[in-house]
Amino acid sequence: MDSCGFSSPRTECFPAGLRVLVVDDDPTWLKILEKMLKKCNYEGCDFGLRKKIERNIKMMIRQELIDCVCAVMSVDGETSRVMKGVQHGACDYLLKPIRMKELRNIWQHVFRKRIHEVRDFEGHESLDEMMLRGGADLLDDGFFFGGDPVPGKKRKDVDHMSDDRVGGDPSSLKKARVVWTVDLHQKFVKAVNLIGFEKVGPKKILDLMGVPWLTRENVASHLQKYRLYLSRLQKENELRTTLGGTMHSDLPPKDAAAGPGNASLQTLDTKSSKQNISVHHDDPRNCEGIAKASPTPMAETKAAEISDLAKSSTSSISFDRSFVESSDAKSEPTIQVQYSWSAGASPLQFKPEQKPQARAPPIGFKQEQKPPLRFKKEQQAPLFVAEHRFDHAPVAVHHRKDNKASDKPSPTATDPPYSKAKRGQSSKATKVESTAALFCIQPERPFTDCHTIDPIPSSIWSTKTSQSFEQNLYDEPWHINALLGTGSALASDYTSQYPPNPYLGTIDPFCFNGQELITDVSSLKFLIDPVIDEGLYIA
Amino acid sequence: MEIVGQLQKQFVDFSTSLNHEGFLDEQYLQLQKLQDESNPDFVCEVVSLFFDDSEKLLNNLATALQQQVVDFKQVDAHVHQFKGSSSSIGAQRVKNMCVAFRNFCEEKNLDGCLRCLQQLKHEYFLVKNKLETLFRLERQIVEAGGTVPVIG
Repeated sequence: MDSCGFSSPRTECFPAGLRVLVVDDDPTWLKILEKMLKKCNYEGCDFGLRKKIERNIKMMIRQELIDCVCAVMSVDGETSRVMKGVQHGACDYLLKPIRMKELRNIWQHVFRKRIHEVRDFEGHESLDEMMLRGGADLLDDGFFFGGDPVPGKKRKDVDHMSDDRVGGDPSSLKKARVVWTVDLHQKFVKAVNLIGFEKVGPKKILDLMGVPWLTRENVASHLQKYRLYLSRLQKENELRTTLGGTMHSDLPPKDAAAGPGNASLQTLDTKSSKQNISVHHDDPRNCEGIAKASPTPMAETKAAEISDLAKSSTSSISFDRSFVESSDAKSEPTIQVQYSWSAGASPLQFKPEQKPQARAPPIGFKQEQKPPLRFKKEQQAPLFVAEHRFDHAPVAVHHRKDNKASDKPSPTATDPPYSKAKRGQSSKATKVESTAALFCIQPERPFTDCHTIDPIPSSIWSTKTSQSFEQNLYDEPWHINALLGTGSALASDYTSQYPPNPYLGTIDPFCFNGQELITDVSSLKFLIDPVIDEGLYIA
Repeated sequence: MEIVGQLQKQFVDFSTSLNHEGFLDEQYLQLQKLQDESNPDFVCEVVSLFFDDSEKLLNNLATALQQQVVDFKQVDAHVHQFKGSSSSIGAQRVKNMCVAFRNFCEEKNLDGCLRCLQQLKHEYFLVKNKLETLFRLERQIVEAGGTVPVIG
């Protein structure tokens, strides 16, 4: 291996020193592989007791102690087995007896994953570990994989190495932090609304945004967070709605997206956020005035609101605050917003061609509804709150969309004491409010804040995916031990598959190793900062 | 030295015949290639592990097939494992026997399985015997001051 010419704790260059963890229930194979790995200049480490190992590995991956890709090895080479292995995330399938040349090349999987990781996650830590899993029995064959209980150092090394090796394009490999400023985010939201929330894709957004230096991956990652945020808001809102008790039950079949509503929205759109806020804040009745929203695709409303909010993000902050502080109008506007939201306000003013979108999560409202508590929480952990909200928002929207059949968001449906009139306008206002609330957080704590937490979701994501993967892994009684793929580079093509999350209810196959990483996220909850999570459910 | 030369020739001939008769295949040669000064007893250690593992597996198989209600999945699992470990040292005939054995497991053919088990045991002890002879030859060569020839 050529020298990389930099000082690091590891003197070898990638792939030399690649850490490979071997798990196999066959002691003979363990010994052989250990020797073979040594010959490849890899650092081998083997485990015998498979069950225990798997559990431990699962745990370690959960704790993000291991970041690795997985390859399966088995004496069984049937196509069906191989397919199963790959389906479960194997980056490679090695047939026993394993040849030296095969082993020598396993580093490519790690390398590939690294590259994808860097590309997709803007500098997320790479993984340079490899996991091979093989074995001979029904449940799981032994497997070996590369795992590093203390990945940090190793990753750093590899980062260095990778940079050195690839050289040519350091920018593509080095972490490229995108700071999502308010302006940038507004552009983003605008683009999202233009496209229609449900049909949105990072590429389209990127094109619409017209920001030359932004990459598709940046947008994809941001979109994911945004969706999660919306979803989270929606959940919060739902919670508040159910817990609020001051909700009105009436919910116009069609969202109060009638003209007036539209008008109001439009107004909101054009006016400063502050103005909007005041409208809303002043009196629910005002909302009524504007309420006459005709059923319009939520998307439009949402889009409008979002763009509106985006514009008024700064002022919205104050609004949010004031809203929060004022105890009287809180609940009502919230409710109203909710309804208006679902009502799908004024498409007219906004882009009529927008498709119906899931209701913008009244989540924001929820937050407002219980401002004292909520806010407190937020204040306590502003960074996380922002991030958290953001992450969940999209999910909520998503859900809304699903419920859109009746054009009635479920939470709203649960609010009996709700006047239609009020709903129309107030919802608008509230919607704006909520959106404002959503966005206000950002200016308060600039996106950079959110951004600084970026790595967390990614890493957590990988944890999650690994975790869920592990779940599948162990739930499946198959001869080939599945792979453990950790690391964020699970989705080699970020746009093509948003990591499934509980809200969205989709689970993509999980694939490790840059090759085809399909993420399987069984539960996004783990991504949530505990503080925020608690906060969400505080009545 | 005469003796060393003789022993070496014996070793080579024996190894070749083992290969030709299908007792040991390519993998065994690979193992030998892995052996080096840092680990001069590598092959011997690996084969010992194989012996231990195999005997356990054979016992498990016998037990599993003696059950009132035979769990063929379990039996198959054992055979699968045996197949894997036999492939690790290149015990080709043992491995092939495992393949046949698995077919009977799939068919849930108890008679077939029992017969296979007998044959498997037979093959296993055969190859064990051969390997022990091989190691003995190696030891003799080394003790006589020679070096073990590298085959392939």
